[in-house]
Amino acid sequence: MRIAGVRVRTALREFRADGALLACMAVLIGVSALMVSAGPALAARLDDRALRRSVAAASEQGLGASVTLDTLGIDAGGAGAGAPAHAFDGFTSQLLAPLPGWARPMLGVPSIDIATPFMLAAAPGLATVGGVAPEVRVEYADQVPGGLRYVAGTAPPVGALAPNAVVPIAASTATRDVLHLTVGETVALSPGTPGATPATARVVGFFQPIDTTSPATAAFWHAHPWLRAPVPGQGPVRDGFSPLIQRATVLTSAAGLAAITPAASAAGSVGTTITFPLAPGKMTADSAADLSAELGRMTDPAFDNPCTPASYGMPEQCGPFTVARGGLAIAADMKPTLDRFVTARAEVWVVDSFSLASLATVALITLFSAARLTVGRRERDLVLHRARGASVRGLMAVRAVHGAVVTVPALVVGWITARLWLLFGSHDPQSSGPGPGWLLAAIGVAGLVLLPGLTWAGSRSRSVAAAPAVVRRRRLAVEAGVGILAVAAVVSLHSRGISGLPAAGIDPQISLVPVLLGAVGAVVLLRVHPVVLGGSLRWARRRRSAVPVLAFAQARRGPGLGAAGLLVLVLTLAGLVFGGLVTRTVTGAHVDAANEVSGDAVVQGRGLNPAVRAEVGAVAGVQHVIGEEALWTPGGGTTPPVKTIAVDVKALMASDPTSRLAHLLAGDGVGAGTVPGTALSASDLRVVSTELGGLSPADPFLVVPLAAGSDPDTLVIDGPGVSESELRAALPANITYQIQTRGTLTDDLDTSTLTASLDLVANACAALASAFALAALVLELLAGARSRGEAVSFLRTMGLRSRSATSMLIVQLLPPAFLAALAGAGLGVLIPRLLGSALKLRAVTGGAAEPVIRVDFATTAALGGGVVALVLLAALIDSGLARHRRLGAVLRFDSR
Amino acid sequence: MTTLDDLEAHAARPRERFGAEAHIVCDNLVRIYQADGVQVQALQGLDLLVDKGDLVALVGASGSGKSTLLNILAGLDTPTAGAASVAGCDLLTMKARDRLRYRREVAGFVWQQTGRNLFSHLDALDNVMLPMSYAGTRGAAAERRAGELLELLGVGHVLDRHPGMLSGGEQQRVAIAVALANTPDVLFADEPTGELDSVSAQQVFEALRTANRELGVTVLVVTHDAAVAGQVRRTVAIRDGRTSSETVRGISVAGDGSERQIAEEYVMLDRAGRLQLPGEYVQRLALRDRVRVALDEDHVSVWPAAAGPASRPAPDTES
Ligand SMILES: Nc1ncnc2c1ncn2[C@@H]1O[C@H](COP(=O)(O)OP(=O)(O)OP(=O)(O)O)[C@@H](O)[C@H]1O
Ligand SMILES: [Mg+2]
Repeated sequence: MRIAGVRVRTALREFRADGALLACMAVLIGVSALMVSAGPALAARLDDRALRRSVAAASEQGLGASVTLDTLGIDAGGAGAGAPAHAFDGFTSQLLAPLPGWARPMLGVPSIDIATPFMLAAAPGLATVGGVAPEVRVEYADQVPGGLRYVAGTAPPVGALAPNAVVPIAASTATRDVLHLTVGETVALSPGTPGATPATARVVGFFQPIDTTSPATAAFWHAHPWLRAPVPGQGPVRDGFSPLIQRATVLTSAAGLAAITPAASAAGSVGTTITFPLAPGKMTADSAADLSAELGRMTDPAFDNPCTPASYGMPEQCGPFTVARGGLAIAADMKPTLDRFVTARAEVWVVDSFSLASLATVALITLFSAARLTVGRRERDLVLHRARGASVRGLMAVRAVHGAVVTVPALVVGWITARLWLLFGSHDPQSSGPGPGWLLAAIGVAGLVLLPGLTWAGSRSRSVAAAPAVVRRRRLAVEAGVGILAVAAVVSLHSRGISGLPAAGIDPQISLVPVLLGAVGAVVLLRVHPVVLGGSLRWARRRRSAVPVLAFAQARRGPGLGAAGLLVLVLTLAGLVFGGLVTRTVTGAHVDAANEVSGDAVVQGRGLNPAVRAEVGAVAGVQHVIGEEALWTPGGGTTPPVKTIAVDVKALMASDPTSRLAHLLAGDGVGAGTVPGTALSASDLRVVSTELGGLSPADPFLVVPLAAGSDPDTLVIDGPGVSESELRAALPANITYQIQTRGTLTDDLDTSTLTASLDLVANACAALASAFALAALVLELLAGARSRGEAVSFLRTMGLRSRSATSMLIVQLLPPAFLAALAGAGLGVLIPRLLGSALKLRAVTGGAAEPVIRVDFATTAALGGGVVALVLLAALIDSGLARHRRLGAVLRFDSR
Repeated sequence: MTTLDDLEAHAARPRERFGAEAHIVCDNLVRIYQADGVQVQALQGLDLLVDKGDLVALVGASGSGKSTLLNILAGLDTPTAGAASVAGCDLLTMKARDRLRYRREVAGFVWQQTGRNLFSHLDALDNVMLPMSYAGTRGAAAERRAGELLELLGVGHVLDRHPGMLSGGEQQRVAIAVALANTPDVLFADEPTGELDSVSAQQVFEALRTANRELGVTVLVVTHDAAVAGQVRRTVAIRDGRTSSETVRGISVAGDGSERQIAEEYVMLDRAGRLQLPGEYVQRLALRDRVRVALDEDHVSVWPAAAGPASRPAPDTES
């Protein structure tokens, strides 16, 4: 008695006999599942990184969400004695209260800055300029990035002040030196309005900033120039002229500021700024759009007002602040950064959808090829089963079980591997990207359905073959259908554009386009192929060489690769070319953006005197230093002043002897050259573009030679590869400079935009698609191996050498390979045009305008050559397999 | 004078079908293959009748359509036109479900190629048991019957061997056992001895005879082997997709009591009265285009147009 039924035994034996191909299917399914489950999440993590980079960069520039209060009074002691600074905590959390719980941690610890207007300072020993007293503002800042070091005295004491006490203030050492301040000195600060009572303040200490140059601190010191050192400027007009006066800022405690506010508000408004820096570490790409919406809601006037309503004309009470009516404003200056990111991500996902869809199609076709080979080489058994009375349904059931045994574990293993991979190196919070659900389902369904489906197709009775005319008509109908679908998909994508796209995710419509376009390419190829073969055959006949004649004659009976092979090649190459095109366009646009900077490096700041310029010129790698200064040329009468840029002509001439601007400025004999902006071309503008700032070349501006004795405010440096840190080291430490180099700018653009995730998806898709394509080609060749083997062995009996058999296969495959390479490359180059408005790269490149798509013909040609090489490799693998008798027997078709 | 009643009775009587009483009936069977745009008419109006329990050999030149006919009769292929029925099953109008039942219970099939009849990954016994399981016979009963069948056909000793370990003749005998697994009414064998040496061929043919004799199965066997054709009572020859002639062998007892094997030649007469003369007759007498015929008392004579007995005057000149 035998164990189990004979049919179970048969199914098991058949499973074992098909083991190699079924394992191949399992690997294909497993890899696809892994790729689908891990890919979007990995790309999303790179998106997170890009978001954090750009938010961090924006935060360094002081962007975030901020609340400004036109402050009339402060109840610093309201929260109780001891630490008045904490009186603000309640208010800041009250500001955040309306935000949803997930968004609150993304707004980090707020910083509070309260500054009085400038007031006239008076003290016995105070230095004056031409008898004009300096102006001083008092400021409370709860956080000074980089910290302060007190060199004399102490910081203004934290804690409540006695009523009518003197306000403690601290000044920087530079301020002390310019204004001749001493510790313990009492300074009277008067608002300047007649009848107002001055406030009295006492100097309690002098500080030096510990660090002003690191990116995190530079922005603060740039925004607080008076705190570091007094800045001379023009004062209010008095007796017909405006004298030069010194302005400085001093620090005080929260209580000190509360005490001085009533007196200061007579001079103007006391400004309170509460800045919520966005916490990049707490943000995820997935939540960026929602966060942006929340920030938008927060700035909406209808947003929960944290102030108690006041009767008409009366001040409002906002926490501890007494605020002028309507004086509370909430701004989310980080919102544009987030919005740009969200747009960029949607743009990137258009490209990603495209690449992933091409890849998924290639994977599915490969799976189909494997399944077809599996079922096809059992064709004889299928006939025998049917002759012995098996029902089609029964045969399908056996194959369905085979499919399930292969698919389910492969899916599970792929998915679990992906989970483990993602778990490894995970830290929260993290974006997970679009869910892989329906893609996994598609792979699973394909794995389950292909084997029984092909079994069904293979066991249909073929006795009533359709007439050739009917076959021709059917083929035409299919081709027309594919063409119409492709045109419809492209047209509807064109009209729809990028709007209506989910923020991130695989868009079904965009996914459909590459598949349809690839199918159109394959359909055209199947039509062109016989024509090309006919030509090749005629050519070979004239050459009278046996192998090509035999090869082309045999290939005429059907392309060696079949429709599936051609489709795979076209899709893979189109995906590769398109992906390369996009990444090239993006990185190229970044380089372009960096080239907008006037020089390889630009230094901006005060005090760029000849000694400093010499230091800069001595830095390694620096070739030329061109000084520039932004000025205003007063307009006559009612015309407004004109922006004017002074350029060091001699240095410009040295750096670029052919410069038209230099020659215009030098005047070439025709007096001192004042060049109107309209006379300049784009190439002339490059060197002054930094000074122009946001000014568009269309606005009127002038360029003049830099006066001999004056110090420039900008140094444009020629010297590729000059390093930012070396430049910074050469500059005086006590002044804040902004330094921009092309290298860091490109890097910043590459990392803060989504270039990394774009690259990852493009490269991963390219690599996987190539691997799948190779597998599909080998499987397709194996499917034709039987008839080819018969033909070759027949030719062998007539004296064909075995090496010639391989070269015959190669010669046979060359025409379809070349055609596929042409079609794929052409399609890849055409895709951007076909996608039309759905393909946008403006936000990804970070540029002001939509970038021009860069077609790199050399790379495209190389990729096309790669496809041909891929086909040759597949041919070599096939003939290698054929030589291995044992393997050949495993994969062999049973001969009839 | 016929009355109305007579006519009614005539109409009510079932119309006599061609070969209504035969077990295998092919009536004007046509099968057209369509390959690469070329039409090949493999069967062009073939007629064939086989009685129940008969053992019939089918001979004919290569490409004459023997395999095509057998595939149609075994239910593996469908004819383009004509009528065919086996054991009362109409092969043209059969639905998929009936076709399945037909393959399971009515017809058994053996191919020429030894490797094509058996599943290489199953042993002999499993090969026999598989069709049984399709027909619903399982378990110990199936195993016992499969063993008996193999024993009957002389291959009982190889039941646990895989086809790769069997000789060609053993494989074909196992294949016959497989075809007989579900006790079919008819067994079709397409050149079962084509790949075998004469000794093995004889054994395989013996197995077919055993099946015919012991199990009462009607057997239709295609063969090129004259030795095989000589051992069956009836041999049908196919030419160009039609049955051309038949040889029926019998024992005739002469007046002196001695027995003599005789072989009588027949040609097929279709319903329109057309007949196809054996090729060698046509060649020998150089028959072309037109022949002269004459009806005698109990037979028809055929002469070449030019030759023949002195021509009788044409009927119209006589009048
Ligand atoms: N699948 C097919 N497609 C096209 N033509 C076919 C097909 N099968 C058979 N034919 C043609 O039909 C005709 C009859 O073929 P068939 O196989 O029935 O001949 P046969 O009598 O069995 O020959 P042989 O003795 O060589 O086996 C042949 O001309 C053959 O070329
Ligand atoms: Mg045949």
